[in-house]
Amino acid sequence: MPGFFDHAEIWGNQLLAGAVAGLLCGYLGVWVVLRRVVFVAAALGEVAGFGVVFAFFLAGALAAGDAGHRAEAEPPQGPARVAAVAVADAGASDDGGLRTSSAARAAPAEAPVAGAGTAPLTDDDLAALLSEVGVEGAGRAVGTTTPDGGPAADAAVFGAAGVRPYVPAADAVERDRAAGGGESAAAVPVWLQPMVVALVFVIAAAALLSWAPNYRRITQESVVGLAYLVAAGMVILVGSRIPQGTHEIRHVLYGDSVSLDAAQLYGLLAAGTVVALAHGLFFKEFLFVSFDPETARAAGVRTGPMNVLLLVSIGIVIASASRAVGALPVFAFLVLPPIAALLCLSSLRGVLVLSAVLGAAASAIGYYLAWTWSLPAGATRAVTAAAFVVPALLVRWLRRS
Amino acid sequence: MAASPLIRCSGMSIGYGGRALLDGIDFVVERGDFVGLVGPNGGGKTTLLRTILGLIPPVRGTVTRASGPGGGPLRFGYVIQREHLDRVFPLTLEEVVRMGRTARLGLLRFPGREDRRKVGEALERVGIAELAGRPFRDLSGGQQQRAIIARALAGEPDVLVLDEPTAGTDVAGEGAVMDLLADLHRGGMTMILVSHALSTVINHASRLAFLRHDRRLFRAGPAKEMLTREVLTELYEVPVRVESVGGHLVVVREADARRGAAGTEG
Repeated sequence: MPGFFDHAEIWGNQLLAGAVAGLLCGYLGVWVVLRRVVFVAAALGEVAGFGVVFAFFLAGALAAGDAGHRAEAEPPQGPARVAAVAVADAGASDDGGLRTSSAARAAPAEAPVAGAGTAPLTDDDLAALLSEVGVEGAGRAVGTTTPDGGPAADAAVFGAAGVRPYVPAADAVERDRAAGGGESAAAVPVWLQPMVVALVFVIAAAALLSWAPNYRRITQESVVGLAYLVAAGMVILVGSRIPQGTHEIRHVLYGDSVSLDAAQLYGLLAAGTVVALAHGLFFKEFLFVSFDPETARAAGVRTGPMNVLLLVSIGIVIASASRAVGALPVFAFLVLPPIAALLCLSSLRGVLVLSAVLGAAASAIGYYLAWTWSLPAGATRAVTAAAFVVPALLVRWLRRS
Repeated sequence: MAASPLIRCSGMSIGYGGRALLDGIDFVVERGDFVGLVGPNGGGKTTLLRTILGLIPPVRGTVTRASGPGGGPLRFGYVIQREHLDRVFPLTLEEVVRMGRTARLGLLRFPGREDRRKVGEALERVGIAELAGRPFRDLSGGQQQRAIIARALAGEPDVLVLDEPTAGTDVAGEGAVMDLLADLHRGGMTMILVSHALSTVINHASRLAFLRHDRRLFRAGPAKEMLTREVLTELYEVPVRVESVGGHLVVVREADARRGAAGTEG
């Protein structure tokens, strides 16, 4: 494939993160499918997305406050201006809050920036700002349309026209801080990092959803549906207030990012290590409470904490993997590789291993195909994972016949 | 001085969500007892069983459990109705039985040689050791029932608690399971067995409890005192008595018994 293997510095982190996400989700997905909590996993994915969007919203609010104070002395410059514009443009979005990156890039900030001056953002301004925050060659398609074949973007998303840059407001503010803008009041604290907020949200939701009181009038599924719908609605509602962050939202929801910050990869690896440790230590308890919770409880196994721990471990991976590769492929890896593995094998350990391998393979192959054919990475990964079910069905049919 | 009972229910009401289904439950389970909890479907048997196991609290009154041999809590080996197990899990018979060691092992400990030996012994005890590597979901109903009993035995319980262990089995399967349980009882195992059919437990139980949630009926006592015409008629609402046929006790309606006798004379 022309160009792909020459640009490992662009896709290296993303490919590795995708493979790790596929591995972890493929393994955990077996628990999700066997415990019949696929809908819970979907709800946790939405909650993770809401956590990310909420973090961006708060970061934008902080940046707006900072911009307001600074504008009294001077107009905002650099990445802080991106964040300020993002906040100022809030509410101007008229397409449900999910404008494409190109639309956002081309759109001047017509609304006055609250307390930050009224200068509109032109394409040239944006190009300069993107360059400042580390996005070189913005607007060029990576791997397919980049004229010089060189690295095009530090942060970019696949789109119908190739690869487009995105400038998440919180990231921009964070980079500004890292670049020496420490005096800015808009500096994003650790607790407001999107992955941290998503983790907190997902862990709380997982704990709540694993608590199964004896509802007399409503079913457990309906409670999960409530969580799903509230989170999905809030993603769009809050996202509509941060237009510049819609690229990040799109990235989180659909996994269209080409590249990935090393920090997000490390976050995912750390989350994976914690989850692997928990499953190594409590595997026999997880299995017993999943297969026969009533007997486990009668035998003296603490089923409540074990159920919470298992679901929280799934939530941790969903949150960190969604941030790295997007919610859509994460949900696909949680469901499709386990289905394929369960169709092929009759041993739990074999199913766990095969599902993890299929998840990693679907992620890597899907990413390669997306790059090759300029397709959205998240959707391509999801469809690749679905494609694995077909040979699994064939294997099952052959075995039966 | 007589030993204290393993389980004592005092002035107990059972139910869910604070609503009592059945009141006035007073009975004890002594070490070595074979207790039969008998009543129609929906009569409150499983609710009583879950209360004894500590899975739900009593609505009123108390259930007291003695300490186990080592001073720890009393260990229950619960034999759940096999229909409640999810066959989507790709587990071998041995993996299912090994779950019985989970509570014995405790947290942060992994099964070792001793645990494998206990699992093997439990499988031998119920007569399905040769199927250890087979997928659990591919076993017959009777084999699955034995597997669940083996899992309970693998945990070395103080009390074996069985919920309708012969449900869905044919006459031969029911006989095999009850013979196995009788054998375990003779070996000193304390047992509580729930059944909707009195005939299932009548030849094995040393103590019986009859429950009827719809009539708020609870009667418990030694088997001999419970198998009287008066008590059984109160339970079934038709004249019923126990007869011995070939050394085996059977429950018969008096009307049927009279017809049989008339037919024989004619």
